[in-house]
Amino acid sequence: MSRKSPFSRLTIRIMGEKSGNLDLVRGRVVLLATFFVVFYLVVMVRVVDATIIQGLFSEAESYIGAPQADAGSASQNSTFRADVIDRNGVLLATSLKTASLHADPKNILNPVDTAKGLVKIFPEISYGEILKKLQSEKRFVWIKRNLTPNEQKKILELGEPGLVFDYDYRRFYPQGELSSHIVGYANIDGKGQAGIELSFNNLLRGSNDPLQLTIDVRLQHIMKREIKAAMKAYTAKAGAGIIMDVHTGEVLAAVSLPDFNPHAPKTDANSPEMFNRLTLGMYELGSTFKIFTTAALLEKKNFPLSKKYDTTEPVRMAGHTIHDYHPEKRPLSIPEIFMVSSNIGTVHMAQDVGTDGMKKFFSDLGLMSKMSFDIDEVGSPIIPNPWREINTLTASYGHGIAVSPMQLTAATCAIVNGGVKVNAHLVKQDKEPLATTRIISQQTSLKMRQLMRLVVSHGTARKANIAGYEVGGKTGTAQKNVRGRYDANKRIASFVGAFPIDNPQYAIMVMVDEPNPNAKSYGYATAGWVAAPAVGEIVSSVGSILGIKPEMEAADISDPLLKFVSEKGGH
Amino acid sequence: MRKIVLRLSTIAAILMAVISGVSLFWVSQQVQILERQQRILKQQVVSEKEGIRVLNAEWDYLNRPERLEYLSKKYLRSMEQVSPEDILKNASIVPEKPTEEELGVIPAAYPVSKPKNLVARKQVERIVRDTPEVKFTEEKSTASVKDFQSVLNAIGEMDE
Repeated sequence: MSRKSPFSRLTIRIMGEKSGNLDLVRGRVVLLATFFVVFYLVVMVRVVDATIIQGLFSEAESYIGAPQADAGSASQNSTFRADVIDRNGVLLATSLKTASLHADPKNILNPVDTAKGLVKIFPEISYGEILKKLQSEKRFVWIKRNLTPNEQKKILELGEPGLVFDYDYRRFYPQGELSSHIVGYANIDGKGQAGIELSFNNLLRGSNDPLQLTIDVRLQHIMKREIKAAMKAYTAKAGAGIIMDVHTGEVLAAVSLPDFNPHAPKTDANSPEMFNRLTLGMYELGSTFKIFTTAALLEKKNFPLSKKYDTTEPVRMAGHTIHDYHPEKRPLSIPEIFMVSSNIGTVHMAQDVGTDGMKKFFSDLGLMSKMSFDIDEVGSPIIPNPWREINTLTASYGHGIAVSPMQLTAATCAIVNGGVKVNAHLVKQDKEPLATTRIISQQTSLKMRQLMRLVVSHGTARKANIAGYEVGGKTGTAQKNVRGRYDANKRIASFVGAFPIDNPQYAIMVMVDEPNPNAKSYGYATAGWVAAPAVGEIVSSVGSILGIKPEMEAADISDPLLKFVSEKGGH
Repeated sequence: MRKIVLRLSTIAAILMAVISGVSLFWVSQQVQILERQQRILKQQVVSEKEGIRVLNAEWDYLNRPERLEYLSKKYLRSMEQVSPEDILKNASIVPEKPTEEELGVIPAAYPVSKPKNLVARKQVERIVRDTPEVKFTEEKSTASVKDFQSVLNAIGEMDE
């Protein structure tokens, strides 16, 4: 029997007088065995449930450990924002994970010792303040936000269970103030407040891929350095500068001074530091507008450059008298008018083009309406309304019409690049589209480049002339309109041009607001003294960065124009 | 005979159940261990990525053009900013380093014999002393305290 299955014992039948009792016992044994079988079945089912069902399918969520947000995850609640980089991949804005410290006073074992330890780590917080927080009845008190890793390590070394870290992203701008007006800034909740941070807020919040701008931090730095130097030398109030690709409209450098620290922007939105002079500021930019008047005349009327206009008498119209800054008092050819920046001559040119022609031309160049740009801080130009003939005459030399420096630079690009309109932009595209809308002919564009070179080689902007890189451009010294009157002592000195002028690649614009004469400038604070030297310095510094080969022995493209310039005109 | 077959199959069934139960448990434990490892690795990746972000930010912060310019002015005084004049279009313009022959250098060699008429050695007053002469230092010190202008003049002569 014993060699058979152990279950066979259940079939053993015991005979005898006490067999009834034994049957009873057997029944109890079976009951007990059944109970254990059921019990182990339950345990088995539970084990399967715990290891397979719960373990495999829902463990990922219920895992208890250091709860860490995925790096670069763009969840709704996180303040993570995608990076903003320059055209070479240098970080302009990035999000770094920082720990913030808060405490649960109920779990604080020893408030006094903990407060003492915390004061050693954060000397700027007072001992009493921390102690007060730690012994309060609340379950949540902030101690300090955005710790450095070093501070966090020291806090962990305190070993206090009531001190809890909270992880969040903080916006960091490695370049500091350098491009604050372009990149803008985001607040502590990760919401864009200005510049690219504001206009691309949703994209930056919802993406992990960096947003690449057309800015180059090296050019940006050089531009800022030189404008700052010019502002300091001439005790100016403000300044702005732009470098733009003449064919694509990419903005390589855009500086507006004074600027602000994006980590701690000024709380007063009206402070001068927060004002973007590049696109929001509207300025009467003076003689730089003569580029467009002259281009309109050459394009629409097809006059030869030898055509002369009499500048002997000031122009009088509707109670206004238009003078020249340095009167020549003789008939001047078109190159002479442009070179010596004669208001009277330019006004006569505008009269030849006519009001409708001038308005149409300005409008084609995008000077008459609000420009479309990649940041939201864009202002509308101030256009005379109604536009009378006198407005045509003043606009011809850049008064009575106010545009932003960015608009002026984009319009200049169209004049020098062969005559096609460009759209200024900040966000880099894989393949930059070339402009196609023609405004002036190739022929007119070439003539304008010659004229602009003449200004630098023989005219008002000779201080922008540097060996190797041929710069061409036009200066403008405008009186500022203060409460409806032009103030002779408050000026805006500007220069707009392009280099290398024989085959322009980049347009450059420098503007200095309210420069004052200094000892070295013989009492002058005109664009030729303030803006032109800065342009010279900038171009000689950026030339090698932009990979432009210096041409030391190249023929000056303005030489053919010299035959139209009389001895007296040539300075 | 039929009874034995039945019993063997029962044992086999129980064994199967036990083996499958044990192996199931074992597999699930393995899965758990691997999952834990995966989680740790994922976390390490996350924290490494965070670290890289911080290092990138620091790198670009330290390489600010402003700072590089300041440092190069401070420490690389002989290296100036490239001016347009410094850029040559044609590398062949750069003169090659002259050979020793062109420089007219005669290779040094041990003198075979000493010419009798060569007396230059004797005229050179280069005397090496172990201790400086007291007289010499005294002279120097009295000259330097004579007056301030004389020191300035001496420096001026040195510059010229």
